[in-house]
Formats: sequence, C-alpha cells, structure tokens
Amino acid sequence: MNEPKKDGERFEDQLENLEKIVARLEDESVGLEEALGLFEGGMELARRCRARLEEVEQRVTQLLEDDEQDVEAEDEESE
Amino acid sequence: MTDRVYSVAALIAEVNTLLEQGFSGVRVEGEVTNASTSARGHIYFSLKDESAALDCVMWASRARRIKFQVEDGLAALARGSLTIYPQRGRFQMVVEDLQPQGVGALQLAFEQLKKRLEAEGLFAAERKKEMPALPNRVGIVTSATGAALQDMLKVLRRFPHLEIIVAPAMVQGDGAAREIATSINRLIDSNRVNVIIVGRGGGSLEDLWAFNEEEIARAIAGSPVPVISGVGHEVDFTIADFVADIRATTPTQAAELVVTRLEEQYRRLRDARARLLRDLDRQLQLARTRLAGLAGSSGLARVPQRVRLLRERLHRAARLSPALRRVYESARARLELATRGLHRLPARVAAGGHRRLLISRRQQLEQLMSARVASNRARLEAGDRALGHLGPTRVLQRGYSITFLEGAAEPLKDAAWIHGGQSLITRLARGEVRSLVSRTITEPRSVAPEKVRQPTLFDDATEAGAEPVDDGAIDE
Repeated sequence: MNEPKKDGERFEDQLENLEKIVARLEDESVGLEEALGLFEGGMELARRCRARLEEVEQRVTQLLEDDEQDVEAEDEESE
Repeated sequence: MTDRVYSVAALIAEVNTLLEQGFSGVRVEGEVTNASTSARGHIYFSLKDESAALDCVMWASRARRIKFQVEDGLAALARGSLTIYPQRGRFQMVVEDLQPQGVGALQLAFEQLKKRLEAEGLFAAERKKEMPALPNRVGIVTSATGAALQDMLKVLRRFPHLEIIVAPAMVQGDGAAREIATSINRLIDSNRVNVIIVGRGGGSLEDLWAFNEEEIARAIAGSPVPVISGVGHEVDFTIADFVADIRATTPTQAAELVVTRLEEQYRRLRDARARLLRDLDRQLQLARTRLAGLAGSSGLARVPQRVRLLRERLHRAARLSPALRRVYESARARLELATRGLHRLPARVAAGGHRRLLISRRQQLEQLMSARVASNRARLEAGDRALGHLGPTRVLQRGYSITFLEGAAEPLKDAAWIHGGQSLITRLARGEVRSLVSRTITEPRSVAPEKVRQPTLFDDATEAGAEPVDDGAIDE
C-alpha cells in the first residue's frame, strides 16, 4: 500500500489541483462568475485534502510476532 | 629409516599423525587463489606466494562464521591444521579461521557486499522511491527497548495525525539481521504503512553490523513501501543506508523527515486556502470596479439581474467557510451600493438624451467588462480622487441637500421649474427623501440651469473601502 486511493485520487494530485485552482483564481482576467466557481471547487478540494491529512489520530501500535492481533502500546503521554 | 613396507593408507595415516602433532594450530599467510564454495558451504581455495601453493579447505561449519567473501587475490592469514586427504593423497590445510590482511574482516565484508550490491544496481538513484506525499502511517523497525524508538516517537508526536506501527527487532548480535528483515517484511505485509523507518542508535562497527548484512539489504530493496534508514550517527554509513530509498543520518532525523513532509503539506494546504479566500475577495473588488465603471458610463439593464445571480452564488460560497462570511458581507454591501446606483440610471440616461447611444454603449461596456483590470482600477481610483474633491458629497455632509424633480437629471435650482403635485427626490448625506410639491413660491430672477456634474456611484464606492482579508487559517 503506497498511497490509499480513496476518492479515486491521490492526495498529491488533489493538492496540486487545488494549487492550480488558486493560480487560476489569481489570474485577474478571470470573470467573477468563473472566480466563484473556482472558489467553490477550491474550497471543496481543500476540505477533502484536510480530511485526508487528518484522517488518523495519533496512536502507537506494536506489530506482534504472532500477528493477527495487535495490541495497542502504552499511550505515549504516560512515558 | 626402517625396512618396513607401508600400505598406502597406513603411510598416510602415520604421516597425518605426525602432521597433527607437529603442525596443529599452524598459521600461514599467502594470497587466495582458485576460491570456490561447494553446494554444502565448504570453501576450497589455495594460498600461494611467489614460489609455492597450498591447497586449503574450510568446512561449512567454520566458513559460516566469516563475514567476508573468500575471493581470489585476497591477502589472508589462515590458521588451522595440516593433513593429507587419504583418497587422493593430497596435502592440504584444514582452515579453522581466516583473516584478511591489511584490513579488518568486517571492513572487508562491508566493502565486498557494497561492491556486489552496487554492481547489481541496488543503490541506483532511479530505483529509489520518494517520500510519499502523505506519510501518515509510519512503520518503525527498531529495538522495542532502545533509546532510538523514544527519540523517534518524540519527534513524531509533533504531528498529531499519524498512525505509528512499531515492529520490534533485535538490532545487534547474532540473528539481528534476520529479525530486522523479518520485521520489515511484516510491516509490508500488514498493508498498514506507507513509509518505513529502519533505525538504530549509534554504536561501534560491530554494534551496527546487522545493518551491513545482505539479508537486510534485500528486504529493503524489495520493499514496495519507501524505506528510510536512520542508523547510528552522521558519520556511519551502513549497507542499509545505501539501499534505503531515503537515508537519514540518525533515527531522530528519519522521524524529522516524515514530520517535515507532513507539516509542509499542511502548510501548502493552508496557503492554498488562504489564497483562495484572498483571491476571491480581490475578484469581488474587481467586479465592483467593473460595476462602478458601468454605472458611471451608462445604463445596462441586465446588470441588476447579473448582480442578483452573483449575490446568490456568493451566499452559497459563504456557507462553505465561516472565514469567508466577513468577505461575503463586505462584498454584499458593495454590490448593494452598485445596484442602488444602477437603479437610478435609466432616468438619468433618458433625461440626458443619450438613449440612441445606448446600444453601442452597451457593446463598449461589454468590452470594458473584459478589459484589463489594471486600467479599470486606475480609472476608478482617479475618479474616486477627483470626485472626493469636487463631488457634492462633502456639501451634503454639512447638512445641505440636493433636490431633483423625479425623472430629471439636473438638480432643482429654481422653484419656477416645477408646480404643485409633482414628485421630488431630495438627496441627503445619507439616503433620500421622496416628497410631493404642495405649492411653489417663485422669485423674479430665473437662472438658466448650468451643467453640474452628477453625483455618481463613485461617491458610494469610496466609502466602501477594502477590508482586510481573512487569513484563512485552517483551524476554525
């Protein structure tokens, strides 16, 4: 598993698309209607990217020798 | 010498006894030639110098303990015993230990493996995988009890959205290489990580030795998941470092690379979002400039409709982000101002007698809409400035008012121009008053109406300055 293919798109591609939208929106010749469309699309992409970035909560797991069942390691706060 | 006649076997047996007694633990140095390894792991070679050669054998049980490859040309010191191999009657040395000369055995082993793997292309830059775009599921192969693990966790804690899976392995001593390789493979098989750190704190060459073993090199090279090596200190280079997709100097730095990538992506996302908000705001200002330009030049009947549509879209966009709400409010206020100006336009245009120009004006305005913004803005600013000085707004602020006959373009200056029952519009500093004329009182002298520049939308526009854009912070 290199990159989970959720939303049918890689995170990197989504982020790049977002940046393209921003670049396009920075072009002053864009009309207001198109600008709004870009903005709406961009905000949606930003939301999805952020969801991907934050999809996991930090936890430390130990992969055990005799597998199948992993046990959660001690919480790191209680070191 | 006796007269005794030996059988071949007896002779060899007797000589072997003498050899064992006289040459046990003998040491001999020479250059390795004709080295070969049998299927069962025995190593056969010859030691030679300028004028002599000695056949040698190293049984598999001993051969397994030497880390380096017994290669032709190697200057070596052998320790062992001498014997005649009865079946062939061949004199040979049974080597128990072999040391390279001029270089340490481990150093030699390292150089040899490095050369071999390099020749195989395992270190080639083009087969290195990049750090994933989103390395948020991190596998760690290290000692469960070592300081290296704590060092890495400490750094990784900086990014709260990480899954960390530790696959413990002994990192030094016999069998360490196998454990490390196994743990790497288990992480890969678990399908739960998108980057793997193989790490160990600093130590001597012997301590770090496991990371110079072929088994680890193969596990790393075969991983479909990018592997970061962080072994020892900055100065230590292990085979694992050469094979790894990314080499970190220490375990801590390996963890840093992961967190840095994630923080960098977070920053990119924040920037993009902030720029989206800012750029939309700018586009709204541009739109306002264009509307102002339209209002000041002529009437455009479609504009109020367009403005309404845009307002609805804006409203929808604003719902996407609380941060945009303020931008939206100011934009809405500007659009209000712009439309209010537009609603007054048809009357003015009609009164000015420019109706016939309307069609061609409209075409010009379409072009104006799509013209470069810079010129629009410059025009607007110049207009703003001029009107700020000349316009009647200042006068209105002081409590004066301007009155128009409804539908008239010019301010009312003479009571004789109107009569009872007509509608008037009185413009105040804020808002307007609509009234009906009850009666007029005329004065004898009638002044011809002079051309007075109309207050326009620009007066309103100057009041609605640009608000600072929301920074679009990601944490709402």
